[in-house]
Amino acid sequence: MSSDETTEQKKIVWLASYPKSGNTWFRAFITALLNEGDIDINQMKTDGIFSSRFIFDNSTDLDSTYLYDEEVKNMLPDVFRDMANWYLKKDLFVKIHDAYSLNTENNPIVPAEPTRCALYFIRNPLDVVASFANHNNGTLDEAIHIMNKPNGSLARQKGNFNVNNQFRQLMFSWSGHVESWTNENVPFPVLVLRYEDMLHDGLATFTKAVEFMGIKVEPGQVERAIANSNFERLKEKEKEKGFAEKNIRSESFFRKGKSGGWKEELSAEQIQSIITHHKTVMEKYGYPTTI
Amino acid sequence: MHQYWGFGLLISSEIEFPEFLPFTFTAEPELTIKLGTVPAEITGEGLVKKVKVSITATEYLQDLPVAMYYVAHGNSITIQPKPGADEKSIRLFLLSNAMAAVLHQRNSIPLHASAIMHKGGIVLFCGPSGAGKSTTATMLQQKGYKVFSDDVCVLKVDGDSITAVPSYPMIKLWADSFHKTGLDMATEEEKIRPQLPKFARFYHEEFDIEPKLVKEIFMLDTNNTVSEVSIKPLASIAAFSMLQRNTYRPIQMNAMQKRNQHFAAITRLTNAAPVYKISRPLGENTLDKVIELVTNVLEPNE
Repeated sequence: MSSDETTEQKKIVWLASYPKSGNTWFRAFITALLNEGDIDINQMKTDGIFSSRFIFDNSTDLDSTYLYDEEVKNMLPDVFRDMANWYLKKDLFVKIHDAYSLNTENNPIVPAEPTRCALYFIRNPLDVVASFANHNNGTLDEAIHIMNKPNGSLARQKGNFNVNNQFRQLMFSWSGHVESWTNENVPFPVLVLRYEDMLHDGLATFTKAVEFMGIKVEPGQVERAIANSNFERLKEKEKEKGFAEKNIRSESFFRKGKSGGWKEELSAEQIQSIITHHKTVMEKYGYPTTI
Repeated sequence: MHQYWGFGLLISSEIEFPEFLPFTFTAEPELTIKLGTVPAEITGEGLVKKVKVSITATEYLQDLPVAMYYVAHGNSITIQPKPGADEKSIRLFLLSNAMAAVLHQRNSIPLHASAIMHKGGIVLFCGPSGAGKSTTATMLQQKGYKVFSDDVCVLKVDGDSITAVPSYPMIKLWADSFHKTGLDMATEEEKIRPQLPKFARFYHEEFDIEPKLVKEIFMLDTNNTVSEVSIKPLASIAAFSMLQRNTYRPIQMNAMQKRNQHFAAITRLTNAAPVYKISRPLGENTLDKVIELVTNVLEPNE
């Protein structure tokens, strides 16, 4: 970034990931970091999700339930340019599960102008399977099917319905999602963070993320935020008060928060299916592909 | 020119609107709708630009995939259709956006509410899109109540009393609401946009354009953290706070600096009628329970 002025204009930090890869955990961390203390998981200090109907309607003077998905995707770049304009605060943390993709006007759905950077959270897809199945209240095979198909999507509504509080999100396959956000054509800096490193090497990983986003912190602040957003605490909080972001059909949002659970959760066939489809990307990010 | 009544206004239109109430009048129209070329941009004091829309106190210009709409001085709408756009879509966005701009320019207060008639007055159902306003009104229509308005009511403040007039005699229902309310599925022809599974149900025969007093208000709320349908009366501060979120097109209200009059009208409304909040879990068919709670309030002795 060349000058202070540019830095100030570029206020959006995208928290990008395939579902169930540490995104919400990181948002809890940001909340703890900005709050200097306890967190309410239903009052996260981050700034919503890219697919939010609320954000869209706030910028467009439209009832977006009347729009086709294609029309929504064509307006989204302008929506986030507008959002960056009307927010007074200098950092906006916006979660996104959409793949970095083009709309039918051939523009990236994520606009570069207001973007400072993106953090991309990646998790061993073998561990994503059971967590994603739980999230969807579906079977492991259904989760694998979505992760393997080239045009997988999230929050898709049957028969072109458009009423839910989130728009449909095109994710591609699990590999396609990773590649869309990490390829060299993405016109802003992207830092890849592995869920496993957040779990096993928290301090170094979270510190790297904070520096990359350009957030100034006091000594000890990152450590305290990590402790306050500890997975077990988030799970306890969901148990106490519920979590509004939970899929209505699933039992709980926060499940195990561990790595390597796939060895007990998946059959040999299921493991093979994931590895066959995603070997290249898995190897690139250090996930074993031989059993 | 076609002549209509809609949103409390005498309307003269170059294009046909099956949605409005045909209405013969000899007076000057209060609103004229015509096809034409819209200005490339609008300028002027207090200009607010949002996505695909520019707004001042007296002008409104919106660029949508189906058409561009220019609204001026509360008395004219110019439509410039995009090539290949279908008429239903062009009418739908005029009814939901340009019309709201007309009302704001005229200092009217459009409220996001459906309504049924009850004991000489009306009962409002407020809430964001998807809260169940239209489905609730339709179900009550099935039980014998008359529908007053769908989606929008226009408030009129007159001294201490506050009345409302309806928008136009058409209810918009998503495909799944037909099954929920026991109606026969609508036909393809009744879709409000060619690729949207939402359908129009006209009720021109029972449409009543007389201003009516508001007797009761229900706020419909869907909530991911509740497991059962519940109802509670709201005290005036909570009622005001929830009602003011039901301004139809808050972006217009803010851009045209109409907050004060909206707040004054909402205050009147809060004092004029009891307000109840009905919370229901998402994703379940809770319509029968909602209707039971509503009718318990409307007909306490039955």
